[in-house]
Amino acid sequence: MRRAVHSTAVLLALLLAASTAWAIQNYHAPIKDVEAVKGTIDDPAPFYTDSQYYKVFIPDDVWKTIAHDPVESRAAWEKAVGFRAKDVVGQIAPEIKPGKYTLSDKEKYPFKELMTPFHYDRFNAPGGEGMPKHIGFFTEFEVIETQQLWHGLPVGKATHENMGKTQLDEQGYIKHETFVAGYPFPRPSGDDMGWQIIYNWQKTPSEPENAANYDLTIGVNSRGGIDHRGTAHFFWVTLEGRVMYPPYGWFDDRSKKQGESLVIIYTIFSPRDLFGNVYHQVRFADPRKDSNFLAYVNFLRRIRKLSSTDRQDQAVGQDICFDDASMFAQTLRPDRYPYEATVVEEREFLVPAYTFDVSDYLDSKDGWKWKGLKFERRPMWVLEMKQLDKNYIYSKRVFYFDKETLLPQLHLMYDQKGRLYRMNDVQWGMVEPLGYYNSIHVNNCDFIDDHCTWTFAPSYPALWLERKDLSLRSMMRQK
Amino acid sequence: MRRLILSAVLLLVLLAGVSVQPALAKQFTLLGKPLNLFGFASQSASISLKGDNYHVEEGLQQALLTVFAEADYRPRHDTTLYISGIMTMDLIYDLKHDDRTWNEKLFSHSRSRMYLDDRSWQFLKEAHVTWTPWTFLFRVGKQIVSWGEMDFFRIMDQINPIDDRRGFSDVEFETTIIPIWLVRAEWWPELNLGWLGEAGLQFVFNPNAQFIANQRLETGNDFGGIWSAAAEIANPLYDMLGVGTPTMYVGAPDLNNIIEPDNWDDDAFEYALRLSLMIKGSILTLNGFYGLENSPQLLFKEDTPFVMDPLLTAIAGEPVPALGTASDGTSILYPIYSGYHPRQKTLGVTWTGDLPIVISALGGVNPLIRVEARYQFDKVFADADQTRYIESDYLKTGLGVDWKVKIPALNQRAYFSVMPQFFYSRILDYPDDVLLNDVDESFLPDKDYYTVTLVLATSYFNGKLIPQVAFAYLFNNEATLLLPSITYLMSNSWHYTIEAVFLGGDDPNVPAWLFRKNDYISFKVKYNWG
Repeated sequence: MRRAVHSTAVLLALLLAASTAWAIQNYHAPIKDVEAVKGTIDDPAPFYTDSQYYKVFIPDDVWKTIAHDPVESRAAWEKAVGFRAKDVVGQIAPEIKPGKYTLSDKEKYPFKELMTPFHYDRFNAPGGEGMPKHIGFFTEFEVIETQQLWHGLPVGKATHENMGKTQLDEQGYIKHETFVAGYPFPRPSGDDMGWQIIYNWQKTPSEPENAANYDLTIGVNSRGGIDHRGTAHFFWVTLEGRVMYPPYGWFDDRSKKQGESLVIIYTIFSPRDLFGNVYHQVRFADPRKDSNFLAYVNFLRRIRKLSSTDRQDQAVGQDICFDDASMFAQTLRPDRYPYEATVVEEREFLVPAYTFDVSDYLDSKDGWKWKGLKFERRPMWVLEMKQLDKNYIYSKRVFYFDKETLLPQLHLMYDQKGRLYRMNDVQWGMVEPLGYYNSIHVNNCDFIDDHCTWTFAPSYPALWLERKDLSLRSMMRQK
Repeated sequence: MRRLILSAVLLLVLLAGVSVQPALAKQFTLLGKPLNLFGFASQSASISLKGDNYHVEEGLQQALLTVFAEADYRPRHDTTLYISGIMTMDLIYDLKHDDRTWNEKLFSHSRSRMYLDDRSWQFLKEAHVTWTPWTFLFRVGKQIVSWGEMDFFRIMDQINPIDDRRGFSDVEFETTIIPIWLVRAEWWPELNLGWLGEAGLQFVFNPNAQFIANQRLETGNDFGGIWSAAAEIANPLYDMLGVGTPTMYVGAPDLNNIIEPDNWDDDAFEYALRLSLMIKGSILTLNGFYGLENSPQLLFKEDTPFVMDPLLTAIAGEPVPALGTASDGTSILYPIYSGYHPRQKTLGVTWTGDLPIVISALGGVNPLIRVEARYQFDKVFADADQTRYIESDYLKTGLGVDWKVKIPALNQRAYFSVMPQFFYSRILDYPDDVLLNDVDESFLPDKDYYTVTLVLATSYFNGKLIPQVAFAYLFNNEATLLLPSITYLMSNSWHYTIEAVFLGGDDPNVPAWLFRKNDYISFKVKYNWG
């Protein structure tokens, strides 16, 4: 018995030593530390500036391996997309120059012409007659010069090198086996232009490739009261077409054999009823292959399999369904809720500017106005995705995609009666030294039940992540 | 005095919860590491729907107060400490302290068992440390290990005891499963096989540091309170001697002769092994358990099966029970049991996977299938008269479907969850000459048993209003349970629930029938903090 105890102790000690001597030491940004830099609401602190683009949370040796020279990156991306945004804007309402504007300027300048209809409506004082009881109205902002934007050097290189390789079928759906890495269609064109635009988002929406992310969310009801406070820790690893961090290409043998494209694990800390719930999903490169979706249900202390096709119900306390997660997460396939994808407009719009400091904020004490906003002219595509199955929750989706970054900025969803149902408005943050974008502030609203969700979603590279951190075992470490 | 102290503790906990609530994040820092604090308090009021009856308190019959707090601390990325505590008390015992019918029906006598859950293992829910080095997971401490796939009834879930004292009432879920002291080790090797997504081996050891049995529904208003099983049996003394009434209620049982293992007794060590395999998206588990039944198997005590009347016993020359008298005049018999916790040897399997059927007109969600089966070797039953033990192998199985469908006429924006389940169990070596009884399953006159359950739920108003109906039907007993409820999630913090329960059955003295008079409606308010 004594020998058995001794052997067990030695074994555990060895395990302890091994677990602490891991190749890349685990590093975390505790929620409290993140919030100490910038609060989810009511805080104008420049989050990126004060956290040095997450450098305060990331060890120096790791930082050195993941930072990219912005000048080189910018050049590589310009080569990939073939233009600079700042060279193609300024044609519409040229009298709107860089500078500060307030509500009193709304009628003085042709903002209606230059803004998206959605942002033009939001350029209002909250509470006006006939306006939705929503958060995120703004009454003042600064127009800045159009920025030249880019993705990190490895993404730019891979996008350029693999340009033309990814193929679509005759209906516009992707031949997934032809995708290699990077953005598959940096210069969308031709009959399938709409499909190419949406596939740019579908194939590479997860930057960085290994990420730790917080979803810090509040829900606001039509009376302006907070009815939801959500805190979730979200890890993901891109499994195919990796170019930013090693291992490159496929993440491991398993992902290659099974054609896995992404694995995520989403742990909820609040609201309290959901504390300890963990969601785990493995997505596949082949869109015809349903993802594996599991949940560790805290009060049952069990892992339950969930239907990967259960994607149209509302996410708890929020104003999106699962198909709307991460801006647009619906699997595109011709045999299940098929779409027609059409570019209905291609022009410049004045939209919230990509931020390099994240000094914008939501002011709960002043009508939930969105403050500290900057706007810039961006070249955009308006993509309409018409749903061909009337049984789907939406009749159409309308996206505003940035032509230079290839990222979606605004997403409007219409119900089967044609009413505007939900929207998803993203404030993109550029993590300049590391060459990736955060959807750092997200505003979702429901126009039928008048409810809004605001999310502060900082995410940083998590190079320590391995399979074991995103497995069934990691789900069961919860309570 | 004790009540005063408890009230003070409760107030402090509530105030602490409210005062430390941060603006948004629920995380604090302790020694530079994240600490999460959460909790809730709920108060329910349950009103009987069955009118005046000996087993029912008219009007307000239960007022459960639950205060729960939990903390999660992560000193290292691979180490988690978790602790939770709970206080459950039924304030009805204070509210009706001087009530005439409450006292006449003897409900006040059940105070020591049903008023306050004041034993140390009841206050301390879970307390464990989890360490996840490499591909391993170790968890030591007071914890819950849950194995099953089914809802409503447990099949594979045999490790932790449960607290059923308050029956179907609106208890918080956290109060029903009793954590026990366990050592748990898991290994999840990275196999990188094409067909096998993941594989894990789990070993659970129960050193019996503190033996805790199932807390069961019992007979006798003076013991089980409003949730006493309303058993009613013929009174042979009435015909023979004219003593008492034609039928009798069964009063508080004497359970002092049940043998429970001593703490750390190695005869009561329990071992459990589970192999989990994720195969092409479905999850298969193979399970084995060697331990003790959490409920004792009971016989009437051989020499004195009930509390005896010494005078009549002397006159008759054979045991004559001392009958009590209920407030409605019916006689009450007080049984005396002996018993022990039999050995439990079980093998089981669970499987859950997709059914590849997608109908877009119904919402396009494919159903999920849950299957569970347990084969128990030499399960110990009692005969129907509870005079001797009989062993038989026992099979218990369940098949469940989780399906979400859209019914636009009733709800344009949210799905309906439709969750039917079918349970089948069989006593494989049912004796020819005697009927069986089980302390958990009640009277078992048949070899095969069939049960169906159904849960329907949806949501309205952005997920804030959640109506739900749960239903169960026991074919053998022709017994039913209907549980409609509606919950309003006003915010993360404030939840309100209205719930009703309707129970019924035709066969006497079996589940559901025993609680045929317990129909109620309840109102609950719950406040979450953290």
